[in-house]
Amino acid sequence: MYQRITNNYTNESVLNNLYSNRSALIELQKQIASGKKFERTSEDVLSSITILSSNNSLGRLDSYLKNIETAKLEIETANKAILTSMDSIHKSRELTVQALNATSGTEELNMMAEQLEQVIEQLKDLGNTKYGTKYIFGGKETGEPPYSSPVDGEIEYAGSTYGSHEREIEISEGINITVNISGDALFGYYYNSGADDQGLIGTLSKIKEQMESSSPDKDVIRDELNNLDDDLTTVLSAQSTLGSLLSRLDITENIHKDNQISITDAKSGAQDIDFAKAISDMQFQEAALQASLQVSAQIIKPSLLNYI
Amino acid sequence: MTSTLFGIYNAQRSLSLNQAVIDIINNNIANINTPGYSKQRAEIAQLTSGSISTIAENATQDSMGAVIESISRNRDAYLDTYYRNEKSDFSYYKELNENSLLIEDIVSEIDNTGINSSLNEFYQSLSELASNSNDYVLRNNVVQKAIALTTKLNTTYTQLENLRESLVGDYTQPNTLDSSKVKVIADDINDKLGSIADISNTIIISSSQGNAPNYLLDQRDKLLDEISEYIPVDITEETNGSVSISLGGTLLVSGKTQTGFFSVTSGDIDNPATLQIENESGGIIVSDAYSLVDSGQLGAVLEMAGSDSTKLTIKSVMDSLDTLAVEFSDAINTLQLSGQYIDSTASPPELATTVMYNFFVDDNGLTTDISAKNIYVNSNIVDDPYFIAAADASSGSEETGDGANALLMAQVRDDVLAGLGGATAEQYIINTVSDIGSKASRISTNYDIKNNITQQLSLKRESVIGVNLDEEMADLIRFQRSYEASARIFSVVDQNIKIILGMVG
Repeated sequence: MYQRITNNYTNESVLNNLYSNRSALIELQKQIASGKKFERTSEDVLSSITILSSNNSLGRLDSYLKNIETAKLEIETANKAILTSMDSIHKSRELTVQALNATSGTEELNMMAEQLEQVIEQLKDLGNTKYGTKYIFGGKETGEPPYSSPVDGEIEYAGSTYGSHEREIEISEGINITVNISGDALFGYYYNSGADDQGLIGTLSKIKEQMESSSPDKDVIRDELNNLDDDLTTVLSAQSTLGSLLSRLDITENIHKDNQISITDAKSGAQDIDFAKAISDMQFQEAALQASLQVSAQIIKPSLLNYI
Repeated sequence: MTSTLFGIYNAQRSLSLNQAVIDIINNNIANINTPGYSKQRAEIAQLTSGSISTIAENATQDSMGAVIESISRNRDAYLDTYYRNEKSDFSYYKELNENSLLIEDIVSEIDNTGINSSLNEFYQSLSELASNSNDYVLRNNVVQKAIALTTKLNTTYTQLENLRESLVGDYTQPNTLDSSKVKVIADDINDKLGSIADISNTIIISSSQGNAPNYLLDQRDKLLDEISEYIPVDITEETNGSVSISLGGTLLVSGKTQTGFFSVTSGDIDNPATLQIENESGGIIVSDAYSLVDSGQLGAVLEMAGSDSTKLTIKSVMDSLDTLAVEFSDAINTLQLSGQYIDSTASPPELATTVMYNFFVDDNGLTTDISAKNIYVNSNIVDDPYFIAAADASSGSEETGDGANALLMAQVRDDVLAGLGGATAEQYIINTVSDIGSKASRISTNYDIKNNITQQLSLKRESVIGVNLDEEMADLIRFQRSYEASARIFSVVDQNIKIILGMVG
């Protein structure tokens, strides 16, 4: 194909080719330095959408995992409190059985009453357990201790009533779980001279009352012993609820972690370069540039002028 | 029968001719690297005595040697037109590409430091607050993340605004127009049109005197190339040596006068600068030249800074950010106003609804003027994060640990907002960014294509107008030998005359 080649033509043509060689080289260098296939959405819109959606999903998973962590810690704190109470509860059951024993005299009963009072105090303290700055057994009233003794011998519960006490945490999209148990359902209370009494503390307080009185009514004590067994069951089932909550959280946590891995993989596939390929491309491009430069030097020079 | 000294005249003319051609070759070689220079060529023809008689036998057409009829330039008019049209498109896409890359860098979400990242952290902070609602540190964290989000929106919007202003100024402040790209280009076009008219004037005069003003023609062609980069003009060569330049039917240059002058005035929010064409006395010929300038760098500037919804415009991105700011703040504010905050002045602190503050506000503390540039976290909440209404409306005043409302605010993440076309806030951002990406990608592809085409055309043109050293050298040798031959003839004729003279005297 005949084309008139002028000196400027040669120059321009050579420069155009060198520019495109160098551009390709710079592109590769950028990729290798950043480890990413591209830096702007326009270079690959579909992969960009994958990357952006992955970022959103990973953000959510982060949040859920953090919440699960917080929930687990609070639940474990509650669990420990309950566990601590078990010894005392068993102890108080023994004392009650002993009290029904005919041989127990007034003095012994009084001493037992004192021990029961210790147990009740301990339950009150456990009811005021804190996780961080929160009182965890007060339902939604986490700022103030739920248990107090405004009147000597009485334990008042001032937290949220059971049924309206839920504190929820989001552990997955649209899935909230209740992380707390309120004190009134767990340990109970006893105040207003017995007009308000419930649960473990209520039962133990009534037993203590009998033991302290000058003429203890053993029938009452016997009834309350049955109630004590019910109360023990309540506490044990609370423990098992918390236990199954913990294992649910573990399962959800593992699901999220697996998701994190597969989403990160998908994101990496869309975003990251294959180093081996990029480096070998770059070496090829460098060789091409070298060859270009050498050839360019050769063809620019000669003209008829050299030979006249 | 010719005169005695006829031979001397002939030989002398021949010597001058060869000398002149060697001068032309000299000029070509000297200008080999001059931009816009077209190789010049001597058109050599036979010189005849030219006496024509109506009587056939008396008509003599004696050959009297050779003469240079004209010195012409190597030029292909068709190629020039083709080149200029493509160069117009190339400059158009080049300008669009530069700006689309800038837009992408401003609204960059891919590196996960953009708006979606701020949204994510904000949602996360609310989610954490939900499980520990009366913790001051967590509340303050929510406030900080909210401030980061509003700041991000403010900055992104402002950067886009600045980009638009650099192109077409701010229509509310007319003095910003002076340094805007559109004005600078319009002024340059006016200058160049004026120069073309002046050059045409000189060319007309020069041609009528029988000279070939090749240098001026080259100058004018260069200016025509440069004008084509700015606007897609129609160029016609007139018989008197001038050119007519028109844009979409409006004559800008005719003969030796510039008849159309570009001026730029402030426009409106949709098109902040209005391009007008005036006549020399300032009367308006075209009140809005936007539709005429559909290519060239000026066309790209007007398009990018305009509001054509089918194209990529800076305004469309700004509008998307505004919509996001309004809808998102509304969703959070609605929840904020329907919950309960903690009155930390009470002892012990308790839930209250006495003074309900909006979460996000404009610079007047209200929600009426909220936009991407004008969105802030309510200063009352910044000063006292306990004003965040994290508790549900149904909770008792002592239930300060309730975070149900904060949980709902965190779950706005999953809510589709009607004002965002049924997308969540995060999804809306992804849609906006990928829309920008597809449009920018198309621009980039066209830019590459036009780049290749103009490179090829430029080479093709160069092949027509350029100087080839081999050619010049060959011509140099040729005419040098002719010169020698003419000189030889000169001396032979001279000898002959001497012999004749010798015979007589």
